[in-house]
Amino acid sequence: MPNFFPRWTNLLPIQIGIALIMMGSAVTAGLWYYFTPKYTRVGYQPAQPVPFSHKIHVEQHGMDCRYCHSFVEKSGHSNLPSTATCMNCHSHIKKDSPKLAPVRESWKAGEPIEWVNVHEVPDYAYFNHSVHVNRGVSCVKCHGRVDQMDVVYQDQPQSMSWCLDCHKAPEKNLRPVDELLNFDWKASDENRVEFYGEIMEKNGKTVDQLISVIESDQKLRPMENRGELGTEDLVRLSEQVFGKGEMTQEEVGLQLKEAWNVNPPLSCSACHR
Amino acid sequence: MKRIIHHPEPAKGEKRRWRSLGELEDTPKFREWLGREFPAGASEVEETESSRRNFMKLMGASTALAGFGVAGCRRPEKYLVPYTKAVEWVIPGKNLFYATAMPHLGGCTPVVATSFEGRPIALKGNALHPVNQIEVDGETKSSPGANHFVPAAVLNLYDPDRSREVLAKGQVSTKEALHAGLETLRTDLAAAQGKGLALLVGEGVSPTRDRLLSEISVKFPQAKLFRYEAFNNDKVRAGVRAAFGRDDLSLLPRLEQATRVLSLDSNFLGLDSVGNVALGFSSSRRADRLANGEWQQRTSDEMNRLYVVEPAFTVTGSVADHRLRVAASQVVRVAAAVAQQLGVAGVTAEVDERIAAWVKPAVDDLLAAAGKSIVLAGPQQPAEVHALVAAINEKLGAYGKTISVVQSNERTFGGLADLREAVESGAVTTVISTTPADPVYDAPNDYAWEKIVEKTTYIQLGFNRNHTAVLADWHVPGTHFLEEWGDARAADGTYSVIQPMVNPLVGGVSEVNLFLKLLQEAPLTEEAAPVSEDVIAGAMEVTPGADYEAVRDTFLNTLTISGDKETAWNHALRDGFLASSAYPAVTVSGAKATSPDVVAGPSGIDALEVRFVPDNRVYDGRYINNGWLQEAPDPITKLTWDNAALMSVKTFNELGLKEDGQRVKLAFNGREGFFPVLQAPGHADNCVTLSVGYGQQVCGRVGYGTGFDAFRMRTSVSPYVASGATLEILTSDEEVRPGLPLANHAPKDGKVVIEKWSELALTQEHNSMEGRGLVRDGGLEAYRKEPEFAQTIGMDSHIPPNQHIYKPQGRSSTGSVPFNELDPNHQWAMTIDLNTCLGCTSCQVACQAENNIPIVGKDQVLRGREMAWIRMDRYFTDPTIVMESDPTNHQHSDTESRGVEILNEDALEILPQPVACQQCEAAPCEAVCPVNATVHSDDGLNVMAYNRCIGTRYCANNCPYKARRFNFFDYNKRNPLVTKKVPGLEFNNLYAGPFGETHDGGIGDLQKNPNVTVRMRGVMEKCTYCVQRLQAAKIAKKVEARDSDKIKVAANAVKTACQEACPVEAIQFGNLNNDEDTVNRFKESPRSYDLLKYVNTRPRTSYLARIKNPNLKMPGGVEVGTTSKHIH
Repeated sequence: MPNFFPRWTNLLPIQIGIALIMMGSAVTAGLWYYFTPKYTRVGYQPAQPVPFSHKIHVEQHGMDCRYCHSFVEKSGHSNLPSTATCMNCHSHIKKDSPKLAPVRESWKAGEPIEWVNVHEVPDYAYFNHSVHVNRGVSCVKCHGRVDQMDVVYQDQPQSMSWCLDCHKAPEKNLRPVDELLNFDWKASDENRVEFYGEIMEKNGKTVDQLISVIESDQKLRPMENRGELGTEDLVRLSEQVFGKGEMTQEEVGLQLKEAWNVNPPLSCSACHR
Repeated sequence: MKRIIHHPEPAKGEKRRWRSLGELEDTPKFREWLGREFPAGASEVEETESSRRNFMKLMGASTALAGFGVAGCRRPEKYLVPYTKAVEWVIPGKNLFYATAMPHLGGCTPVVATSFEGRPIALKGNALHPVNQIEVDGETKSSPGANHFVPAAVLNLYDPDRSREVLAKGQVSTKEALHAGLETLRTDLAAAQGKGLALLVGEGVSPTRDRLLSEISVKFPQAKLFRYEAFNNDKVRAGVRAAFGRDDLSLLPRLEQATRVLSLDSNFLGLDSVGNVALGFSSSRRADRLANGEWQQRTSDEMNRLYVVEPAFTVTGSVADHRLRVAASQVVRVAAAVAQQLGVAGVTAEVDERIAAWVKPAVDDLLAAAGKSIVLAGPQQPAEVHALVAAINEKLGAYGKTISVVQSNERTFGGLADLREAVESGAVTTVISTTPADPVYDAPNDYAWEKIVEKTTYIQLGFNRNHTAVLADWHVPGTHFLEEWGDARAADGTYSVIQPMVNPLVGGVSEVNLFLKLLQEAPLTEEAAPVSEDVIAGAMEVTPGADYEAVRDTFLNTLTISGDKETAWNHALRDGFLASSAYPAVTVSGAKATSPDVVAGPSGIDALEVRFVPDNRVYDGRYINNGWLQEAPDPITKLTWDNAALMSVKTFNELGLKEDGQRVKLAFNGREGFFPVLQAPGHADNCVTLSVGYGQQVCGRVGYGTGFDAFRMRTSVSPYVASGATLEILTSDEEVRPGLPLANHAPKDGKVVIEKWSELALTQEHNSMEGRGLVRDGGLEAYRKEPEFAQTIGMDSHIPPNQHIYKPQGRSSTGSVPFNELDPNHQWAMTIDLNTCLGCTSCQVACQAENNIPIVGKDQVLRGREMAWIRMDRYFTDPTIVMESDPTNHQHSDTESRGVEILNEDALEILPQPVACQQCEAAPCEAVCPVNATVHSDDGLNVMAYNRCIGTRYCANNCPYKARRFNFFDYNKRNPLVTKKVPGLEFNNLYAGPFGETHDGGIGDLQKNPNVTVRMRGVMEKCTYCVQRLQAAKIAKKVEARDSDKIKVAANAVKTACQEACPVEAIQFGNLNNDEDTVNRFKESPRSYDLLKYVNTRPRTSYLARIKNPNLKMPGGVEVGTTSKHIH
């Protein structure tokens, strides 16, 4: 009987098998990755119906986020502005700009503008803006430098593990409430003496208490002569712990967390219900 | 080491408590229900009849209609859609609350609607309203509670089957045609001075409607006014007229002042309630009072005592201390006997010994508490009973004390009989009907209302497309009360505004608009004014409609208002009512009563007495298409999706009936009807109770095919009680012709098959808990002697000190972190006071609305798969039964005859108990979840992460309280009421897999609470203590705290949905870590006990034992409230 098939075909079944296994693995790995929190939409930047530029409005004109996202401090949702909000200015400025045609149309017809959703929270998770922005988490922490974006894109992963990172260690992201909208704020901008002075005044804390916060956080042996300690002791201790010179985020966050009783929930029911 | 807990077996000599006769008799069927958390498909339902029924059914608002989900490989692009112009007050993502009112018989229930971005999603009572406020010990108490129709009413708004189209003689027509028709009618009528015109309105009291009717009477002087609903207060009015000779009086019970109450067939805590009397009753019902943080027991003179005379158990009867079961026709004798003993002039009575022995000590007691006692009669009782009661109450010195007499100045209307006469005589040729009733279906059968409709030009405005609608010349789709402007007077006369929450969803027309249309050239519905073209000015103001103007005119021009009228109007819109607009009080005296005509009661099973009552779920049939109500079990019978002929166990056995659900032919009044029978322990003997409203032939898809029509059996001669009925047991299936000749709606071959047996979906044996000492009660004297009696009942008296089988979360075996320090600010807990709980299921329905709980349909209920998070248990107890046989022997040889034969139906008591997740600190469910889907939160909740749940059901099997519910199917997405046909096969939609239909985004989805996940198939769920409300409260507090550390939620700031719905404040909820929270006081109550305490799950929900206040001189008085003493 002649050899119908050349010799190399003997290996074919094995090769096909290996190829299938490899393809299967690749597909599985791909799907696996897709379903893990590691797969996120960072960088997602859809085109919007109106070429609205945050950069122009915020960076150039210095508008406050809350002019348009007016209920972010009151509600779970950070609302998008109604067409009327746009028209407040654009019935006077750039009245005839072709870029604003969809806005004018919406206004005339009473039909809303359909903005494309960039940051998506799954239906089964209940995120609340108001509780974050009122308690020392700045917009920039989750949304990045929107003030510098021409077209908004997703800056942070916003996955569950990313949420939990902060819920477990909120001190990494807290800042004084009057700096929430200052996207350039850094912990190093704060002055130790002023910062601690403010906390003592606003939250009625004593030097002793602030020292204890650092001590218990760093598991230090408690200082002696507690009754007679002054601000300079506090500053000395923090310099010793967090380094001389500029304040660090950890230091600021730690004190704010304790002073405000920030205790982010870690239970499932915090976000899922 | 695993510790096995041996639940104690009931001991010999123990008094029994049971939920069903099956449990009492210990039938094999009951044992099967008991043994399995989720009984398997073993009890497959015979599908023969139900498949025919199911064919027509599609969807209820509970599970609305279809759309296609677009599934693609790409990530779908989603859109955010802001308003064009922001809506006043609306903050996206937050609820708004508006006060409005729900009209009903004799007035309205003031309600507060929760509106989420323009969608009303829930209703509760308005605690600010005077009818919901009572004065107790100089303090004003208020409650937002209301009966179960209030939370359920919101579902009707989103009913996909509600009437949408104008019908002309049953054919779909257009609004334009209707408009033209009405115009012609109006001009013709105006020319004829309104000759031949009749207006038929409902029983609600509305100042604007009255004003418009007056205007109509001016414009059409010959027009006649009539009023009709199947259940009305005509007899009460007639009785008051007979007693005082006045038409304008209204008698309002003030039960917070009453310590002795006698009800003569009045279900005043249930369907016959006038205003919010349940709140007043519950406040005087309390067995103890809180003084300076300490509980003080009340004396038997301070706590109220309830005597009830009734034919069948009602919610009211289940609360009674002493209950006398008599046939409905014999209540008049009891009334006369009471009157005679009190010395009402000219009244003599003849009663048998049993009644006399009961009445004598009861009346002595009422008289001893004169000035603090009251007698109430049911609205279905004849006028002479009401006249007698008026005289009795005068003798008891009730007027001005326990009864306020007010002058209501109600307009007088003709009744349905008058209208019929006028039509027959030709005096009326045009009927304009706005009554919510459906006279073709619910009028007395001998009126043959379909003929009246045929004879006249009949214009019907209605919310549902019902029997009258399809026959009328014109059917105008009506509005829901959440879509219309209107007003109403509450029971006490307080002017209440009805304001729309949303524009008519499906283009309905309101009653006010229809009447305005009669008066003037006006469009039927107000279209919103077009948006302005003026871009700069942006004037997009919507002009208010004529209905708004009409209501406002009434308010400004006809009411007595002190101060600025505009301000008063704005306040009325805000609060929902006009302050001090109640009817003026008057004093009355000299009530006249005469000896009533009495008839002999039913003497045997060959001539039964039949009684018609409104149904606890569908009322007079208007809620037939409301899935929540259909699936909320009847408080007494625990029946869902059906009605049945109720009779006492004794009568049932004497008739030779064998099983609940057997079909019988009832014949009386020259009519025949087929009904399944159901034993109702405690029913009067030789009587049958039929609840009406079911068995409708023209209704929505949820209600179609449910229940059996009892209205058809009613005649004008005996609309509420009929005697001489014979009963015949069906031995084979029978074919009959349906009663109503409804064109297009009769079955094709004109025949219906009546089966000899109907499966009844009773929930009474579901989730049974082995008869442990779960529900506890005691007499007041025992309570005063030993306040903590409830804590030592059964096993609770000998619990080992350190028994742990489940490790509490956050606590290591060495006990390092005390539980309540995990979250030092919040630890949630609940108490349920069984003393005031009525078992009315209001909490259950409110929970369903709040938590997006689906309905599952009759077929699934039969399989024990109902989803309600709160199950309302109802226990019967008979203090005179003492167990004789050895209860540890579950063999059936010697237990067959145990139970019903020794049942003493005269002494029966009912104890309701709502059971939801107990939020155990050491939760058995958490320990067995393989995926950590159910875990403990720091604030003490046993939480469910639905997204993690893989549906092993281990948790449910390990729950000793049977409080968990499993989504066997996608109930929220798939309509359980649809039958799916593929060639050769028929499936229930739930079982049809890929052939089934799913829906998303139907009208019913508009009701869903956006703050609660809509669960899918394969997910376990249970009560969460309304975690969404807890989170919202905590977040609100944190937002307020901002950069301070004051994050503890204020005392009593959070209310759960069930707590808000409870009309008697039985449910308390709050924070254990905030001593100011009321719940802590209730936890300290000596009556407080935990369910299955000896299992040591440490539940966060605890119960307060029910206290009875028996009169020891009454027959059986010493036995009342003694069953818990020996129970295990």
